[in-house]
Amino acid sequence: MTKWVYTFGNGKAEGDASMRNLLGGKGANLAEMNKVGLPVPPGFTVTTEVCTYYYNNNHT
Amino acid sequence: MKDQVKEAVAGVEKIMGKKFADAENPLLFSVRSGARVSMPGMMDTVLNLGLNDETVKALAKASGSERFAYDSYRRFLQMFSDVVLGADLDLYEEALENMKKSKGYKSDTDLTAEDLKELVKEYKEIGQKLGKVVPQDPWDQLWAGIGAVFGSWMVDRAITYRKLNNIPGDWGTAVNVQTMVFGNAGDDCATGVCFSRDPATGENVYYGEYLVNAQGEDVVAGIRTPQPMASKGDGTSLEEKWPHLYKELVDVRNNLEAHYKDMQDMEFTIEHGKLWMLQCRNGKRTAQAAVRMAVEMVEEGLLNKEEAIMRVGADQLDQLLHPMLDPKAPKKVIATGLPASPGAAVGRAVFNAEDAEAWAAKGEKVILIRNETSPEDIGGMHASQGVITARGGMTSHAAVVARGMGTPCVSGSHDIVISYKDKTMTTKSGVVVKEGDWVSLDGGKGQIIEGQVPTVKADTNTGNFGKLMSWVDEIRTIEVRANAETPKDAQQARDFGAQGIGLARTEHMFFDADRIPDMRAMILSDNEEGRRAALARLLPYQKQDFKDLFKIMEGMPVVIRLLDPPLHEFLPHTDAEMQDLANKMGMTLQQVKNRADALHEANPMLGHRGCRLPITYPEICEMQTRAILEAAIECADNGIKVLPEIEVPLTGSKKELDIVKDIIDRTAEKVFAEKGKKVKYEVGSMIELPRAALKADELAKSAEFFGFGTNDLTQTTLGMSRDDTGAILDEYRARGVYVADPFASIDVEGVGALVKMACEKARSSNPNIWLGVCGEHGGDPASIDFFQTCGMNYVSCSPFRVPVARLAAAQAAVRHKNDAGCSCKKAC
Repeated sequence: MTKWVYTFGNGKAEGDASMRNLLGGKGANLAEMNKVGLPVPPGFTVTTEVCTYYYNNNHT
Repeated sequence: MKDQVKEAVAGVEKIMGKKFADAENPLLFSVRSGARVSMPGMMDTVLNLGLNDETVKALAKASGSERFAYDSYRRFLQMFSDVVLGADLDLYEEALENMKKSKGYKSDTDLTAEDLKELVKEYKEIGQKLGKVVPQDPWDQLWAGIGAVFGSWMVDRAITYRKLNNIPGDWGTAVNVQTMVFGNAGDDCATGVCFSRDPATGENVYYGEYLVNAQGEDVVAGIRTPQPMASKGDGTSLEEKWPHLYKELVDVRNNLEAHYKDMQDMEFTIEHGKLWMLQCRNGKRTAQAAVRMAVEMVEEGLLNKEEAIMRVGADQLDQLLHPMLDPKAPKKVIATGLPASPGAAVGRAVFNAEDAEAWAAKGEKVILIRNETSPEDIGGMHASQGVITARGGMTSHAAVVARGMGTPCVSGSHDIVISYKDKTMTTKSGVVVKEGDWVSLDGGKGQIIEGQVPTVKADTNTGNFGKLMSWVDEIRTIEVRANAETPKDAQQARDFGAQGIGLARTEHMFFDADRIPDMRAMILSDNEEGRRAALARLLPYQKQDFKDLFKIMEGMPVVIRLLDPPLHEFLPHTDAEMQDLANKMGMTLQQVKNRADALHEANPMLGHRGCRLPITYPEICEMQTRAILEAAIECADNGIKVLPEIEVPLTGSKKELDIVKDIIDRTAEKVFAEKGKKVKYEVGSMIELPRAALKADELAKSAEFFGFGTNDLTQTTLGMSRDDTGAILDEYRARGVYVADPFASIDVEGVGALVKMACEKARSSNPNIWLGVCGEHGGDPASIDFFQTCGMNYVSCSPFRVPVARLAAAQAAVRHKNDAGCSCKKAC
């Protein structure tokens, strides 16, 4: 199954700064800041692939 | 996707010990867009998502402040209605203003909890009336929020931005959902924005601002004045107020700079004394700051030279090379257009090229204002400080020529109406600029400004700039030359670090008032003898032109292109001018007209031009060769080292090149015999026809160098004329046929494939051939990157683009350092 969502928080993150294309600039940096150990409010990033899917499948 | 989101939400709930959509201890989110690159125009933020009539009560209880909870709720309703549901924001603002007015309040902070509850009710009523109701279920809010971010990828503003910045539509955006932390939940809360270095000057200081008891949008909106982060000694700074948090922020700054090795732009929130980092990214900066930071980071040991030169945007360098309008001076912008050529210009309004030249000859500074410009206006453009046009895009004649000259230009301003008859420009707002009135323009911003705005000279010789460029020259493998034919341009090119002239267009040398009569006499002669007589009169001028160039470019190669345009381009157009010419020539008007008619072509671009001229009129080529070589000999006699390279335009076959080369070589022998002295010269071919690229291995046998004329090669390969395709290209780019304008940045897949193939073929039959590019693409960083992969030996661009090209070439060298299978034997 395709991974559409990447989580971050509590010093851990599924993504990192190199994943800009998938997570966008903001999402990639949020993941990276978590990995560096900075205090970041936890959350998750829905990937750019979902956006592409959304436009290829009539906005669903 | 929904399942994965639910799972992620559950994970966040576990970390925070709160639950999304829970009436007791609710978790709230912010929802933000986030594409690969920062994209203004995309959906903004929705904060406090998860609030509804129930959860707001829990927030009031948890925070101990009803006022805070209902303020958060009404902000949420307003934002969600605006950015997700697309409701008219004004209606909500109006309700807020009416509430304040009826209570006699001045500021939002005067609103009480009861007022805010009432406002929440009013907001909901507005939503009902509009049929845009904010859902109560937090999960519905979340799905709608995520959908709205994706939806905003295709709004007009975003599409326009992508087009201007060559960003493909299929990149898409991501959505970031993050736990809310509040900078506005009391006086032990704050929010701020900071940069790890000063983004305007590049100085290594912590630069930032914060606001106590506020949300991020309050800092941006500028309703309250933020306080500085670092101490100024007056007790207002974060450093003085909360020294332990300041220290924590300094650690964050050091940590992130060391990690990213770049200046960071950071957003933070302090919630009840705890620091949270909300965002970090590489900070935007001025060109000046970019250069200073790059150099200082090398000196600090944070970066090596190769990394440092990647930190300065090649296009950004332009900002450092032109004078700027004094940023402190007051300005009244009367119209805007496209930022076609950067820099500031101040002068008096003129409305045609002749006036521009006449006024300039009297020592006046002028701004040339035209609906559009054409090749006849070049002299006037040269004489002007700046150019304004009402029509035309970023690649219109005015824009291309102005950029080439380094003349600031605002093109395509739809705000102005020009009357050539009255010599006036009238703006949409009714300002009338008459001939002789002072006007200023900012070509980097596309602004037309009333009156005389003072300018400041950009300081390009600071230690940092010089240092960076010296690293650039160490790293790059492509030579950078300039397109120049006047002494002024050649000197400028040399000052900007050009390593030679890659294209001197000789046709520009014949338009001068004291030469054009002889040129026209030559063209009007119906026999060789007459043409030779006129050419003999032109010879001294040409010789002087080349001597001037050789002197300035001492020790460097100078590529001189033989006369290229069709002859009728030199003839006058109006009856009056033709009559005048007829009188001077002792001909009748009808005879002049007949000759003009005979030379007329349906499609001059593909007509009697380029190498077709010397093949039919060898005497022109003979005169030019003689001028070049006599000038070279005279320079050599004076101890000046010259490297002339004679370039044959528009060839498509080896045979054509051989015919012209033969004329050149025979003339050279004659000149050398007459003068009793030889100089070294090279003969090469332009590559600007697909046939030339296809037969490059054959042509290379007769050529010592190739100059790829990629402007014409693009026109002939695409079958598109640059001057007629503005509207089509817009549509094509909107539909993704071409991502970038192929005349501004080379079409790598099509034209680029031809260029690459031609380079390989040429080297296969002549390993020593020297390959270069001249034209707009020679100064375009993306194109230069591609030329690096072709193993090009040099690029040539307008003098003002030379520093940009040097930097772009160095960056390309770094990017492709480890490319395998590079076809070039020399450059890499």
